[in-house]
Amino acid sequence: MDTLKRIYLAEDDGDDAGFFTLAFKMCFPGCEIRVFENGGDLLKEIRSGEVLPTFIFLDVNMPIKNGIDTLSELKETRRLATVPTFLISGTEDEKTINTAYKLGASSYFVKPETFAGLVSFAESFKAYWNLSVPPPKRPEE
Amino acid sequence: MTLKQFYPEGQVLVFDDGEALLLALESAAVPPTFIFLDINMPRLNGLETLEILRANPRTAAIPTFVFSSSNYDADIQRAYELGATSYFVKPHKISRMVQMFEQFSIYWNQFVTHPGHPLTQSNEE
Repeated sequence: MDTLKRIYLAEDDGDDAGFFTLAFKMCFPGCEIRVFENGGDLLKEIRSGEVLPTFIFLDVNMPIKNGIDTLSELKETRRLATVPTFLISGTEDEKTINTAYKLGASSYFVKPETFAGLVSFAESFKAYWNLSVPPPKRPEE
Repeated sequence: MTLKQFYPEGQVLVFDDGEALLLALESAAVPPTFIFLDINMPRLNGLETLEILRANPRTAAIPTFVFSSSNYDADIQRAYELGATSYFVKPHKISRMVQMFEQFSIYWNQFVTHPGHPLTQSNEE
């Protein structure tokens, strides 16, 4: 039995966000996906919201607040630090990848180029997610 | 044994406890691609080892997994607080373990980019 997932995505590219949403809705039926145009908007929502997302995806390159800075701020806040946070990027820069893992990213992905690739990715993500044990829900949630 | 099945070229080094692992890491020329930690170990347990690994800039970026028979919320929560990449409860059945590492290797080899596995390297070969 799948519990319903709540997914936060920060992505400034509307097309990428749309394809991502579609692929994840196919793999996690009934999930709720909230899209933010940059990391700042996501942080604002997550800090004021009572219910935490199941996991977070951050695009690396975004205006106002990029994925790395957003990740860093999430990991500095105790309540938010254990929410599994994944980075997605169009490019793979070795230094950025290292920084992401040092800050505590759960994984770093290069965006698949096709929709079929994105669906395979979402399927593998789901299989892996179901194998692992996520952080337990806190009593107040 | 099961892990080796999905990483035929890989080298798997096993340590009796966290202290032995940290000692080996100190003198290692190449950092490991992944680290798996059991929780219940003598001398230095998995969570204590994880804390030390995350505090050291040389090892902080290595994907490090807790692989334990414990399914206590307190252990799981603590592991994530200390920066575990993922937490896995050891399956009882070997068939389930094989299935687990198969999914693990698909995810980490085909989709994820990490310090020990930049995508371009595998794509160019």
